Amino acid sequence: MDKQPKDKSDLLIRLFEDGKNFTQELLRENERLRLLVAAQKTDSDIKKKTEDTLPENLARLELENRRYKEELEQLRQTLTDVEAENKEFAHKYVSVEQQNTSLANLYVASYRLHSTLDYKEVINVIKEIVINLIGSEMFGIFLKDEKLNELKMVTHEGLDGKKIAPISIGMGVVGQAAEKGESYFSDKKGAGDEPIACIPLKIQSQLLGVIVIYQLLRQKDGFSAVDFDLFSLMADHAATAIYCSQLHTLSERKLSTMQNLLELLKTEK
Amino acid sequence: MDKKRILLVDDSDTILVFEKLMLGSLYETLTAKNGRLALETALKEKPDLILMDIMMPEMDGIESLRAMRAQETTKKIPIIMVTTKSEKARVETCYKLGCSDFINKPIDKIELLTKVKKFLN
Repeated sequence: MDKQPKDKSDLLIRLFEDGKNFTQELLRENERLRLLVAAQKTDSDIKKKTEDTLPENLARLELENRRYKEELEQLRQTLTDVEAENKEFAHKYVSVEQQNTSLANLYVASYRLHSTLDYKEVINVIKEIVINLIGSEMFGIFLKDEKLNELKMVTHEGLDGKKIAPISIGMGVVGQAAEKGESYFSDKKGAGDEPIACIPLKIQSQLLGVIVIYQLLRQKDGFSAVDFDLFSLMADHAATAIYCSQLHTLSERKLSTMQNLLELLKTEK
Repeated sequence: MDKKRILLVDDSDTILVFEKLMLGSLYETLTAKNGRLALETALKEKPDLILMDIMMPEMDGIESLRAMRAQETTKKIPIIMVTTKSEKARVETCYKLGCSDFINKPIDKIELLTKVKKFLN
């Protein structure tokens, strides 16, 4: 009799425990599912919110994109304008530098030509200008002989002086340049046989001589704007310098003669 | 600040006047009219740079360059050869002797200033 109630009570206890465990498990599962549902609900809410605001955000981003594109276009235009300004500035700078160089050359040439009254030094200065500032390695300086009406070479660089005979006014390229009183320029760089430039040296309309260039230095491609400015200066100033030095030589000679005469007179007394 | 000193060597007064005009406002300039005077001046004054012509009487630029490179006082001074004669053989000789650079005549102002600045900086 005792054994049966014991088995029954054990069975009941076991049943109650099983039921309790089952209930606890159900509660745990319920909690897990509840949390899952809550999480899913939150995700769903966020997604819905995002979806709701998506068109608005898209519109905002499109507007920003359009604005940035416009700014980019403006910046590109500004860059193009600044580049154009820079280019123009660079051109002006180069032009000003060329003018500066030209002025410097003209100043140096003028200063040197009028720095002496000695005839030989004046001729030497003209040679230096043609070699160093213009850049010629073959040229001659001719002066007019009034009696014979021809041009005689008084000095040269790079030429065989004996081969260059006096040139009659009006004959050939050089003679014609002298006759007309107008400079002559050739397009060629020069091989040394034909003149590439003839610059008549004149005081007002009176011809004094001609500078004849036959060949430029190897490294020089041709005449530049600076060279033509120098030629214009030489045409007048070199002529004046030569004329003044010749007058000075003449007056020195006369002064010397008169001084000697005075000395002689003093001695005779 | 003291200006850098450049020794200008050329037998042509025209070139000396031109170089002084180009450089005189930026640098202190000394002059010599041949290679021998250039050597004496360089030894005495120790310039920061030398612009040397090649074709000169008494002592030409190449001989002067050779002499300067043989002297302790002047062997490190930058020397730029300034010349009308720029044949390949001559250029090679100058570089072998230790010149720093070359400028052809007629002198271009921008080239002159650029090269001078390069060696003085």
